[in-house]
Amino acid sequence: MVESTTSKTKSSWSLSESSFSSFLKWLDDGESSGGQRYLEMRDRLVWYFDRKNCLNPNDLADETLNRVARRLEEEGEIITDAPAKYCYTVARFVFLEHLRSSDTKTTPLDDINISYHRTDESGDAEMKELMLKCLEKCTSSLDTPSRNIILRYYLGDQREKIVNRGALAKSLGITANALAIRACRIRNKLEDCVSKCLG
Amino acid sequence: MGEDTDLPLRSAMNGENYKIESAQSYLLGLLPEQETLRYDELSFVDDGFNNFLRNVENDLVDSYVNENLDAVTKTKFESFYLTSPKRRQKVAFAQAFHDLPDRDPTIEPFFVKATEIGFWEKLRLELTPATMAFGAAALLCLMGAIWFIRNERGPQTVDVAVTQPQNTAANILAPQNRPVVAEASPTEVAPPQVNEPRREKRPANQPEERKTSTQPGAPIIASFVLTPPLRGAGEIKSLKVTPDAERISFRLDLEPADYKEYKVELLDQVGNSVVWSAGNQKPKGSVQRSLAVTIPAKTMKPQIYVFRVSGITPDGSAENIGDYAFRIVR
Repeated sequence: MVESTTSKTKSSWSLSESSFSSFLKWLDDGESSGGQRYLEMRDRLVWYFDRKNCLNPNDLADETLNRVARRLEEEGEIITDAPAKYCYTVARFVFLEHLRSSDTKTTPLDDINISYHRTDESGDAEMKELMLKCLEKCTSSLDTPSRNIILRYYLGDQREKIVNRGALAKSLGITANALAIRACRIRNKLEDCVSKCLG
Repeated sequence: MGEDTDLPLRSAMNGENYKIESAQSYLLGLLPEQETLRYDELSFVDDGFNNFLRNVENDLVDSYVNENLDAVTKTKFESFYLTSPKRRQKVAFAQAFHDLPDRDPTIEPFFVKATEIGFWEKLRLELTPATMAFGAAALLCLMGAIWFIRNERGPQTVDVAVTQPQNTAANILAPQNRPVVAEASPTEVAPPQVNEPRREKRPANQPEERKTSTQPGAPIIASFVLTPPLRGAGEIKSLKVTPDAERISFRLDLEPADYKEYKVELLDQVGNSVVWSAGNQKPKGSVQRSLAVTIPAKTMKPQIYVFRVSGITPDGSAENIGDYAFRIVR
């Protein structure tokens, strides 16, 4: 668990190993996921705070998880809501506190480079080259079926893409829904890999 | 907004349908607050919605990279979505991912262009009810044209006029899927008079078979036109009827006369016995007056028959105006 950098309240509290184990067990909600559920929940929290345009979504996600784990340790159990719902409720409060916080660093839109240009237009060829190298490396590290899926799933535009997805799902003998989930997970994995590669 | 996708639209948790457009609006900060809060919560508690939303985001980003967004969406994308460093990184990834195939030729075999999809699969995807209807109509026209040309040139066959159905008993026809051809008998002589321009193209001594459009499941009807017999001429027309015909419909063209009603009798060749008759038949048509008669096919054998047509006078008596002789050939 990552230490919170934004929480002002009860910042002295730290998560013990036993508390963390209890927290993972509670998140798994009766099914052992080997920590996967925790990673998924953190990912959802980061995504949530990022959608809210928070500048530090990782920190806020960790703050949320810390609060939930502390509450679980104090109460022994949380039965009012399912884990996902409870995490969202706490995240909502963390977000509102973040908005009200005096040290919230806001950036006016005028100060943000909103006229984003794609890498090939920005002239940052070096960055683009590095990104491509990382992507090639990460793509080649995928197992063949995953590589096949990720490359074909996002191929083409509009109708061609739909045709390809339908053909791919049919060739794999899975539904379009299952294929979409699988492709999305592979893409997220690739994005993480590229992000780490870029440092 | 963006392009169409084949993303899952229905949540496994609550069965709710999620719309791509709404999800895109949510990601671009365009939804009202209450709806935004609902989507916020769903992204945590509903795994199906979470997956759906992530796929919509990926496709939205890809659409931006591929320049498939409309102007309004593109503006909002750049003014809202790209304000986040994480999201900008996501776009950069998409751009690199988009460029990857051009960079690494070894990846090409994994791609399947739409043109490489199987013919039937592509056809299935392309077919719509409208295109299917158009295709069926075109096929029917083509088949009709081929059949027409074949019969136009064939020495043993007669001209076939594909005409509009008329509001007569004989022409409430059921269309037929198989051609029923009226063939000319080698013994025929003395071509009958013809009154319709269409008949000028066919041998004048042969009857005209008419067809109407097709209706599945409708009885098969052989349809013929018999022109007025020339007095003193002994022509006998051969009408070939296929075994599957259930009814035989005749249009008996009439010579100009003032009768308002007619009597039609079908006589067999042997004893001139009446095998079928109908009275009070009213003629149709303004220029070429005719009578429509439909006979059950099973009542007619391969032999010579005669339609005896009589005009009904005002006092109710019948005056013979002509005998239409023909031969049924199976």
